[in-house]
Amino acid sequence: MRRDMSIAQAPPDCDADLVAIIDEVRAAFLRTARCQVEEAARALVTQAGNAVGRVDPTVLARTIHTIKGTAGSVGLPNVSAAASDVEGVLRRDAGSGAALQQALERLARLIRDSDTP
Amino acid sequence: MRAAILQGASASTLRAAMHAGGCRSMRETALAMVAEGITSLDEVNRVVPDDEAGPRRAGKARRVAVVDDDPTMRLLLRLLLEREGFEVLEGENGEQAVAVVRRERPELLVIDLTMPGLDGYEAIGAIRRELSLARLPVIVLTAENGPGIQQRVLELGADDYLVKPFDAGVLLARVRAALRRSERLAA
Repeated sequence: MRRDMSIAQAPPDCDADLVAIIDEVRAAFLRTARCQVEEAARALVTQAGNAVGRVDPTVLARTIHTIKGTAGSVGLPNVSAAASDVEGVLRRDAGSGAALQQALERLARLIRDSDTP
Repeated sequence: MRAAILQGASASTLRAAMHAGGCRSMRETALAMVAEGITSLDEVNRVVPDDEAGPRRAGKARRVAVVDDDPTMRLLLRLLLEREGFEVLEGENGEQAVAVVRRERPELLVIDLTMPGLDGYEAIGAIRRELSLARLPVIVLTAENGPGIQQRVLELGADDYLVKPFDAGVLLARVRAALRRSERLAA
């Protein structure tokens, strides 16, 4: 598992409680984001062949945008970058079924990996 | 500014006080007061506290309002700011931002831009249109980083702009700096 910690990668003299705060928030973030992304990916699978399927693209875009911002702030730049990729797919063509599915699955995998102790 | 008038301050001192209050001219100050229905010194006294930086809470923690639709981000900001000794007030959209700063008069507002309902742009505009909130320091914290966004929010009246993902140390330093500037203006 690769966990780049822009904040949590603290300098040696950084307060331990700052690291503890980031750890606590990262754990909460990963739990929420995992549910959100896996749910969106599942919804797409059930609607295979239809662009975006039952996923409201506006709601999905907002969710992914939030994940992008929060992930980087809790030391998960790879998750943030993957969320940014999903945003790109949504922006390009409102997300063709296959491209969006692929980008969401990659994001879900990275979140799962980051959540593994 | 009211105190300066009562003490017979010079025109240049009054002008500086108006600038600090977010108004560029005497005319703009007058228009802002009229827009808020303020036509007497008593009304000015009611709306503009003696301490224009907001209520100084002697012996109490300074208060920062944090407005973001993402609960995880609010949790992060709350924990970081509380660790620094601030009391944190929360809101999850622009309407709540305006309501909380009106009601609670915090010393500083940290606000996101993209939120459902009234967004951050509209909230900052609404706050800056209120004379009594003109000097509230506002820091925008957003994942929006497109061309022209920073300029737009600063021209709307925000004091600082920080892009997510952010560095916790930098955010806290910006908060402290904004409060220092605010306190110097009030001195």
